[in-house]
Amino acid sequence: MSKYTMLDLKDEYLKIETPSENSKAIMKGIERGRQEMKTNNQSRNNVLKVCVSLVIGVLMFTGAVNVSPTFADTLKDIPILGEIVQILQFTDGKARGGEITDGTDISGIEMKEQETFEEIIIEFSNDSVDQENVGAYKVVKAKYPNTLTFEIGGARRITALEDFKILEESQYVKDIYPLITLDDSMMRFVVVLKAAVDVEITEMKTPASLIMHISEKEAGVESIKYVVRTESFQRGEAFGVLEETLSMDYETRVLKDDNDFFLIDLKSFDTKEAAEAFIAEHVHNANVKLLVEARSENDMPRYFPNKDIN
Amino acid sequence: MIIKSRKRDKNQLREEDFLALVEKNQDKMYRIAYSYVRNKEDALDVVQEAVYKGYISYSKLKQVAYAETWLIRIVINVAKDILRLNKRIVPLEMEQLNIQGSSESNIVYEQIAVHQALDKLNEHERSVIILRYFEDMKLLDVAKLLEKPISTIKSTLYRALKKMEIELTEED
Repeated sequence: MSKYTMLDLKDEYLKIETPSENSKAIMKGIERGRQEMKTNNQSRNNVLKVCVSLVIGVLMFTGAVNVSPTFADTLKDIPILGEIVQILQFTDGKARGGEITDGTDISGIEMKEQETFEEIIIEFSNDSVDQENVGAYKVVKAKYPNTLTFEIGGARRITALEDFKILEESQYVKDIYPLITLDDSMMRFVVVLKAAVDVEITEMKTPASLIMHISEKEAGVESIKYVVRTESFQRGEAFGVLEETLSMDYETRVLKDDNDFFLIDLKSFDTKEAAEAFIAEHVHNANVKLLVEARSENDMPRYFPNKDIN
Repeated sequence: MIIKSRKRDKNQLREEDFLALVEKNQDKMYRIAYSYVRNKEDALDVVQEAVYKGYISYSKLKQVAYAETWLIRIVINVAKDILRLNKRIVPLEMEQLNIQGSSESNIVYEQIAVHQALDKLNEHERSVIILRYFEDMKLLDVAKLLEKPISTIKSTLYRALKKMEIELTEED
């Protein structure tokens, strides 16, 4: 007879520890199942889909997140859901897309780190339900520093604001912050990136998301630009009015400085003289104090406080 | 639109039920998978494949009361498939051998005992022992899960216990 009883063996069996990767394996299985079901449903529903797509509406898609918070955490590891609408093509640093919607909430932000790239997924919902399409949006790319400014039409709130801090973990994203927008039909936010990165943005639908695929590229020769900018202001209505006024005449960009105040860039130049000449010419029109700041691609704007408006 | 929304709702509920089922059984699935394949990587593969198979066939499951039995059956079938695919002697994990002598050595030793006991059994006998004694399933459920008559399960159990040469200290 063995020296073990069945109870001993059972105890030992129950000591088999489930590794942390088990949740990941489960979510991979579920995601494969989802994709499979989707492909099946799609071939069946193609006719219906053509009709439905003509109707403007928001479809239900909440998924499994309601099951339990611990399980929801493991969802972060799953591959991206939805269908690709387009990979954004930038013309003069701008790209647009999406469908006109209202009541959008920029509801989630997720980051997936891989060895050679990161994916940042911005999710949208409407009435707490995943949105079918991204609301009509515009993304503007600019340098010195490297930023992407997102304008999401029809967006009323950013509940993902709390989640913005997960990007502190990112090796490519230096900062992300919302902008004040007087026009309440849209929401804006800025993503500040390191200089030597490539970014590709993909628009997805069903459910709606924007995916930033960020990878490292070889750093170029460090150069300096001379940027014509305003002083630094507190975030608020007065600053909003100033931006709105300036944006009528200039290709403005709002940035946060190294002291968490906000400023507006008007234009950048290769030489200090050209920047100063621009100021001399435009200071009356702009009707606000302008200054020249020398910036490299990785520099944050500096804090030059304004005394009148703050 | 309304039809589509309802369909979505139904799919959602189906998915939520399935996720709840998987969440409840996640440790059990891993333990059973591991008992068959004996290494972490394969066990994780078994879990993933079983969840995938379960997800796509959950809507065909008629009796929700047997969902758990059904899920475990998938795990066991996938584990057997993987064993057949690998067709190799199942090694003990290196990490288990390496940590012998550490403070965890008792656990390691004991788990080796479980493996040694199970090694004496064929696949079918092993399934019966794991399900009946380790996972505390009723004989009727074991029979259902393995799709065999209850009389076959009983005789398998008897044979397995004999092979394992262990003392039964509880009344079954």
